Amino acid sequence: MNFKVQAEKMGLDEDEYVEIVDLFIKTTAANLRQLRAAVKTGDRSKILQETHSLKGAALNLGFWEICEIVERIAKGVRENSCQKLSADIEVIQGRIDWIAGLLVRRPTKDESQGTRGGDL
Amino acid sequence: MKKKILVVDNHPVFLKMMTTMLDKEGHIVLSAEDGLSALAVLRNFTPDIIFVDLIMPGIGGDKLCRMIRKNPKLNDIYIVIVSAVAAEERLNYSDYGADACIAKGPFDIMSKHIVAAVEQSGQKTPTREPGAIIGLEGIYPHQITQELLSIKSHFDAILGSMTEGIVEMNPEGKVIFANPAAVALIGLPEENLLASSFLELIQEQDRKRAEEFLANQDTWSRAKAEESLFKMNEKDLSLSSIPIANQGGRNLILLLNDVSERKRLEAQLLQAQKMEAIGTLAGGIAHDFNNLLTIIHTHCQLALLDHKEGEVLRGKFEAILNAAERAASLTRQLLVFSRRQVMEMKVIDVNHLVQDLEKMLRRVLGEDIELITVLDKDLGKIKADPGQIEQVVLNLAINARDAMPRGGKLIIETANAVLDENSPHLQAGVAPGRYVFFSVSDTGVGMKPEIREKIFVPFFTTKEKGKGTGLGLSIVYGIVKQCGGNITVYSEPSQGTIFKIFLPQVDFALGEEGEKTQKKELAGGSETILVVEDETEVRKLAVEILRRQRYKVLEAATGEEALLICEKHNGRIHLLLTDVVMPGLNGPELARRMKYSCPEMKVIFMSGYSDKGIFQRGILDPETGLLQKPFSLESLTGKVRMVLDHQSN
Repeated sequence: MNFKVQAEKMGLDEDEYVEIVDLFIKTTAANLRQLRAAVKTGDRSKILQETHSLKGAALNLGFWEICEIVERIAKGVRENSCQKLSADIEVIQGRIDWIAGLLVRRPTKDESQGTRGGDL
Repeated sequence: MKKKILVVDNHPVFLKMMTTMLDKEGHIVLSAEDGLSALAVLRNFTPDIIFVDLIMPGIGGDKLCRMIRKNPKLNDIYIVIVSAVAAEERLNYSDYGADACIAKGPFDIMSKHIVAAVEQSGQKTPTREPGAIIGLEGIYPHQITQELLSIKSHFDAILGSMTEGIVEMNPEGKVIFANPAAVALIGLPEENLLASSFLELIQEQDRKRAEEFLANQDTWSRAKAEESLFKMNEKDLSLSSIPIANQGGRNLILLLNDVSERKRLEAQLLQAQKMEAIGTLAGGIAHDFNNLLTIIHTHCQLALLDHKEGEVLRGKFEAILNAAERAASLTRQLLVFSRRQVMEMKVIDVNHLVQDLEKMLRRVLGEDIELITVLDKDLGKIKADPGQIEQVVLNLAINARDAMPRGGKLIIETANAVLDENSPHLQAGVAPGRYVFFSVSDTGVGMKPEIREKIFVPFFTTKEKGKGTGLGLSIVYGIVKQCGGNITVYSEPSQGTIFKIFLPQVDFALGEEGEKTQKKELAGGSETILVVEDETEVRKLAVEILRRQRYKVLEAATGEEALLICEKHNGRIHLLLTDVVMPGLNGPELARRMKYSCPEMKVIFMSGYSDKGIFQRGILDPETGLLQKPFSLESLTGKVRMVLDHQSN
């Protein structure tokens, strides 16, 4: 994943984009916390609220894989098959952790010269 | 060109992206995370363009747009809805007053539309016509959004159909949601209601109590029902509260129920029960007093027959007689109030009655009070005791006169009225139907509510000692209620008072006029009369008087004894003179049984007290004689003669 390329697509500086992704990680952590609690209590409405919020932000930032998993969760809720919900939530958590890791290991401006953008 | 921009969205990532991008473009950008915060920003900041999310907690984008459009100062702002539901729901954004709508999607695509909208905002006057949704290309309906919209629409339908008002209040006391029932109860358009202070919606007299209720920590930690009521929009509302957790802390759901009607009916019932209890007490006392007064009165009259004019004792007996008559008048009034007075019903035209009374009323009111009558020419008839209705008019007129010491106007108005189940004048115990309405209003000093509540209570008076018995309005109340009608009073200090009376209409005439005068000379005869009375002294007196007038008199202390006498007596019994309320067999039941063996026998009931169930609501069969207690020599002998001479149909 190349933050610089992603930033350019949106007309932002890389630092600005990184700041937004950082905010995304933080708000998503809260979403996932609420989502786990809602799955535990079987609160269908709450699950949908949290996934809606998560999906919106992921879509804005172009995190397509997260969007797809979130849609799968919604489908499970609709079909009353909640068995895979917890597993899907953990997959999302894994994707978020991966993005967070990239942020930490992000190359400096000089290092990033010449790298290619990755597909998300 | 540099623009002033407000972005309203509850998602921090979207807000950050928008503000970062628009800042970069050189615009002045402020943000708000919900509708309520946006309204706060708009108090001091008038943007050129607002980007608004549609679904937000509390005040949503649709409501926020409408509120902005209602504000003339903000009317020129270019409003753009940026929504994630654009692909799932057909949005008529112009219904909310918005100028454009952009579908939420990947920011790299959406940002171009945002920039275009910013440019658009300053270039031409917004058309606010329904238009296409921008940026829908490549956006597909999402299950989550569809599900959420379906849940939202389900809850909207439930909340919209509830008759209970539901208001959501944030911790700062601002209204962030109101269902249609709450909007109707509070009586403000939703746009004005949202974001307003809930406390300020409560009328001043109850605000402090409501403030304490809302300030109580307990209210914010568990569901509560406040037992006392709050006045809001001139309605009495009960208030229950349920705290709910949300992302920012706790909000309060307030359930509002209009209990004005229930409160009014409870107050009416309480008043009716109180008056009934006082009436029963007063009626009971008056009944016993009547028997005692009959003894005093008639003994005096008998004694007067033995003493000639000028004798010292005669003067003393006359003084006792005078006092007994005054006492009898008081007990009569108590009986009227208690609705135990037996009425002799006639069909009455209230207009004629008022016209007949006008001359006397003018004399009673004096020169400083102008009497105005507004009488409905097509007024229906009522069935009542004419003397009692005259007393109603007279008592109300006297009351009005005393309320206008410096003069004024007394207005008597009549009209036909129909009371249905929704009529506020339909009190407990009054049936829906056609009524004759008449009102007596004055321009006098009026009454405070605490006085108004007590005016029908016997012996309650605001007049100086010796200037009123405190029975005048109690009598009015008793008469109206005994006629099956109702009476209400409206009064404000310094504004005057109006009494409104509703009496049931009748369509038929009720037979001949009753006796109007009584002969001065004591009447007598030779017929046989059976006197039945459990009060020994009263019975002895009646027997003594009738024997003096040459009647053959049989006597019995109870109904059962009377039946035995009737069985054993060989000759004809022409008249049964009986008390009404007696232990064992009561008067009407005795008369009914004796009529089997003596069908020609006439009947006179002696009573000042009509017990419910013996006479229906105290209304006497027009063919039956009634002797009011306490009776006099003249009334007893006169009534006996009249009934004996009356030809049966």
